[in-house]
Amino acid sequence: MMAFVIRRLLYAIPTLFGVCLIIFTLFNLVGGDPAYQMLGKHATETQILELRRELGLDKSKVEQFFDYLKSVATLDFGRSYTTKQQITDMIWRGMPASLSLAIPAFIVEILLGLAIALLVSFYRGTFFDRAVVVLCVMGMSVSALAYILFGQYVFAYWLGLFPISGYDTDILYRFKYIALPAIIWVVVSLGINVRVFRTFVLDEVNQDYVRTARAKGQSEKKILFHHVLKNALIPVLTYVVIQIPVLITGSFLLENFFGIPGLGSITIDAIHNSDFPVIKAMTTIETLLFMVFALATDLLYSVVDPRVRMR
Amino acid sequence: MICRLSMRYILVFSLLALIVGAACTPRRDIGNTLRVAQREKIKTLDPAHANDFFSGTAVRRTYEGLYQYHYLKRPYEVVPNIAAAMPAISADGKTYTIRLKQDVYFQDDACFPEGKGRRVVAKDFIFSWMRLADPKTASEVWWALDGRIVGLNEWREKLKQGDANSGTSHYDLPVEGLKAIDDFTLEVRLTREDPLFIHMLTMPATTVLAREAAEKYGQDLTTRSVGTGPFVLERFEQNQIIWTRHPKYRLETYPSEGEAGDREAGLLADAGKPIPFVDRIIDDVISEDQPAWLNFQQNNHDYLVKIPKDNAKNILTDDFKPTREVSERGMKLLSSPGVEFSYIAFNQTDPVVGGPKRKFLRQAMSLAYDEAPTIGMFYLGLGKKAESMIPPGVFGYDSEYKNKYREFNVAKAQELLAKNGFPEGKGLPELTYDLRSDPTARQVAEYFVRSMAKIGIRIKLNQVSWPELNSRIAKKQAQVWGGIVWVYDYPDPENGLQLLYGPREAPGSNKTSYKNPAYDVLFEKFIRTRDDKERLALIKRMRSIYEEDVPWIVAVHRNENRLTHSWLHNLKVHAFEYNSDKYLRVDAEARKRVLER
Repeated sequence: MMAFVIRRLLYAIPTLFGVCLIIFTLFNLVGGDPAYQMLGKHATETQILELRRELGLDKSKVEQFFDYLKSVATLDFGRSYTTKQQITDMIWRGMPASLSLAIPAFIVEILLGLAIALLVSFYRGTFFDRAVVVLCVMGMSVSALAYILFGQYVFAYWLGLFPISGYDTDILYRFKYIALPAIIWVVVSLGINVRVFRTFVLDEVNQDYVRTARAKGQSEKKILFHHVLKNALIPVLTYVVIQIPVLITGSFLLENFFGIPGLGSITIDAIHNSDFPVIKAMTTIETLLFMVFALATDLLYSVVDPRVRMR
Repeated sequence: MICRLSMRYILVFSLLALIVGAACTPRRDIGNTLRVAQREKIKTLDPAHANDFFSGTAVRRTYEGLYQYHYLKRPYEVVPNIAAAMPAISADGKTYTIRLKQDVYFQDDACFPEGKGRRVVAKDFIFSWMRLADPKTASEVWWALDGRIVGLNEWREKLKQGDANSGTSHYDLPVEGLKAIDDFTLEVRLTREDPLFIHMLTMPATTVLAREAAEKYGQDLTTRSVGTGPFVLERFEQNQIIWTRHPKYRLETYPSEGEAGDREAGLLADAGKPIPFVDRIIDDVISEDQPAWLNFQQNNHDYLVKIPKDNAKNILTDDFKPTREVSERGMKLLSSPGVEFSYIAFNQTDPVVGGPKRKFLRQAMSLAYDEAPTIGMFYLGLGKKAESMIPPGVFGYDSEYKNKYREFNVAKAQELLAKNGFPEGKGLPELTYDLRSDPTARQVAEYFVRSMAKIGIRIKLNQVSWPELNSRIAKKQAQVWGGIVWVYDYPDPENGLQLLYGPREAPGSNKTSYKNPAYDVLFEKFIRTRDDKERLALIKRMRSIYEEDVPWIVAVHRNENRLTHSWLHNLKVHAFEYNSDKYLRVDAEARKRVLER
């Protein structure tokens, strides 16, 4: 087990290097020169040169890339070009807001998706199953933006059930701001989750052990909830755990429309402003989280299914 | 019992609890609070870095400068703020002696002994301006003082070459042109006669900051503030900023004079009363149109900056008047000409569209571009076709003036195109038009492409990010570009005219890199001239030069718009007075009645 973990951690190094290289290349190709962006409309050539020197942009691309790798290795991303705030402070301040929205929405999204998937699998081939699948496809075909605009207009403005937008650092008041975006999150994700989970469950339904259980005369309900569900949990686990890093780094659209000061909106601002230190911090964190959670998924396999052994 | 409940029931109950809980959370009493929807994020509260409207507004809530613009008078007039009076200017126009008010205090803060804010003295301004010049500050707004004060640039150079780790001791070095005669008298010596200097003293960049605060908080001043202004920062969040009334704010009063019509509009009802009127300001940052408009309709904000374009149909009729619903609910649309102009620019260093040889091509393109329909199509009908780069409200604006290449005349355009060797566009390579990723910029660009196609000019659009567009323009890589607006920093024509001054070519503010020695000579004379008659004559001469050369197609002067509720009083759109909110009065009772309905 330990050898497996160490080996996976070592694999992470070239992966992270590759991601850094891609981000650095993309930023230098299409990101624009931050000095022009920062100094604004009155910038003179001298000021631009001075600022480029100050930011280290006058160094060769190779040197700049190694500076970037150094900041990734030390997790010291410095200050934002735009806000001049410490990036670590920005992340610590934005993370609770992103998580306040993401955690409840994600839990409900997964549990509800799984419950419906099991239900439709139980009634597979019936009108109910087909109707749910059609609804899921319809739900997936509608843009998330449409759900946001509709939800904000109907439930917040027209019916007055929720605030239109906003966020409060006070937990008691925060709840009312998070409710509507969380519900929209669940609705947006439900279609795809039900379809994916239904596939996982139906894959198991056709296995030999299910036929054996049926031959032994066990009820369909018992087969589904006792045997099939346990075995379907492995792909479900992969699917769920790998999404966790995205939760932490925030939802761009929901945060922007609902005025939630999370990491998603910080990232969007950074892209708009060519704020490379923030972009590299966010991408690095997301990559690291992906790798950590991918490893965690593999480790969890052995917990869910004792037949799986880490080598 | 619970164990027996299926997962479905638990989930349904959870969702219901979420909805009921959300709906039942109590609404806080807001009292005498002004609630504003800011349409962009506040990037910084540090005066040395505030280079956009929204950051400037936030900075001026809490930081003050020596001068400000009169809130009501038009044309815009500079009046004292922390200064006790207008400066005494020497006969050669180079020395300014400024007396300070003696009852101006910094807000209480831990950076001061025992946390008590001290009185503002002349040395504080010297420190603040040196901080702006300090290369370590890397200020985006250093241009406001660059080259203006004797010895300040030399001090900056000395720092650049000297020891960067010398702490703040370099602030004790003297700057020849900055002298505190006594605690309340500041003497500033300028490098040349500079009629624009007074405008620099109204800007957020030149407001006063305590040295104690700069030393204690350093770069963290981006989210903190220690100013002298009418409001004190209570909380700074990415999506919301809260300000409370500065308890030690000196006695300042609402203006007693305005321009014609202000009295009738009720703008002088509070004349002579102490300001600020509100106890608290809540700035909600809402960048998207729908939530901004819905929140305003739901009375969650007292006024709204910028009309949400996506909801324009609910706000304006087809002939660009407020809709019946807007009027019936007592909402008001305040719209006045913005001090700005939009343009489509030609890179003057580009061999295809730039330089004197391609003057007729540019003239033809200007004539083929019919601006009039664009105001209704892209700007909600709230704007004015531009004839020159001097907008309404700025000295030198001439409402009678018609630019001879801004009329819509396709026949004449074709004639000029042929004169330049491209009859019906033949022989002219496809041009590239750069634009940023923005719906309005795209719409304007598509309209431009269609207009040029009518005279046989083919245009390829190159949509890029805003930073990339900036880089391409600064590096002279863009050929033709549009969707860009020049917003005046101060109400003097120099701010627009300098955009074509040769020595400031890209990456400087002359983004087209236009060069015409005759224009440059006139401009250099203009910036030293104080006599209005002479200035006007120079403006006309410069205008005739750039009109003929067409380095850009001046497009539109957009309006500055605000939507307000009936309980908000004293709001008048002001292009330069960032801290207008100190003049606003909320009728909290009237608002409460509406909210309780």
